[in-house]
Amino acid sequence: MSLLSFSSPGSSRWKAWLDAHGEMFFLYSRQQTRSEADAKDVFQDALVEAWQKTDRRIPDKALVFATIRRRAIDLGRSTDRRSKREQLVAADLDNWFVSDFAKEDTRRFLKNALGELPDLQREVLILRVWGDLSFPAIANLTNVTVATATSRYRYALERLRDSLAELKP
Amino acid sequence: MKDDLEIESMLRDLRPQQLPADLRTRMKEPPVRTDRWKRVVAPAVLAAAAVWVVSLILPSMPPRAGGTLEPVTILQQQSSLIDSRVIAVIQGDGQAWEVMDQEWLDEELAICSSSSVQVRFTATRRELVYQPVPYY
Repeated sequence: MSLLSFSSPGSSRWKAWLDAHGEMFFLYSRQQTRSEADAKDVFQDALVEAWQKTDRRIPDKALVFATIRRRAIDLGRSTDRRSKREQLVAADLDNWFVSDFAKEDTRRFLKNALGELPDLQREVLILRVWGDLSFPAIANLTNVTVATATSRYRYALERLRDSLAELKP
Repeated sequence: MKDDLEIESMLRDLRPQQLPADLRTRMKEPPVRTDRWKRVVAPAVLAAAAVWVVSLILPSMPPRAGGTLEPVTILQQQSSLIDSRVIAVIQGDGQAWEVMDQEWLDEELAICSSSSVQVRFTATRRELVYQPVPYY
């Protein structure tokens, strides 16, 4: 018998929370999983779990990111699968962000450069830029030291800067 | 050369894509955890009710052929000594003891209450018996 049932009470808070943070959490789910379908499943399971853990109050952002990360790992993200996935990221990244025709060239270039980043660097970048997490929070979430999290972020920015320099010398 | 802040700003300009429509549909309503009594007490009550119903139904069901044991009555029961041999003499507690190997025949005569069928059971068993050696 399922412990979950879906009904309307509390739906306004849930909806507001989803509207405010759903895109950011889904971006991280995409980064953590191998396919769009996996990203959707992980996103849904993680948000439901986080919502219930906090007894239907608004869950802490870091908790949701951590739950997404754990669920993605549980789903069977292994090293060899990750390497295969990295090859696909660059191609899929177009769907990760909203298009903007005014700055399309730069944005496309930036998205491609993001896709070429190593997985761990891209993870820190997403958590910092779009997740707006502090480096200690990122370090705690990714099980590394603050220095490691910071340096991954720095390396990521450096690579992006190099890529942009090629675009606009 | 762009600095870090400029690149961060450019990155933030990339807004994450909206949730896909199908995912938004899946997430339409918040998950609701049912009350504790519904999760724990209700299943227990249901299980107890099921046991009670089964206990009411079972006695009223007609016996199936070969399914359940018929009630029987023991008409006769006896044990007979059919062999006894001394196999050793040992010392213990300041006296001698004979160790006897005895063979017994157990017999039971039972009758089935509903069909009047009689059944005789026989079985042999062996026992080791200690017996003090009498001194005259």
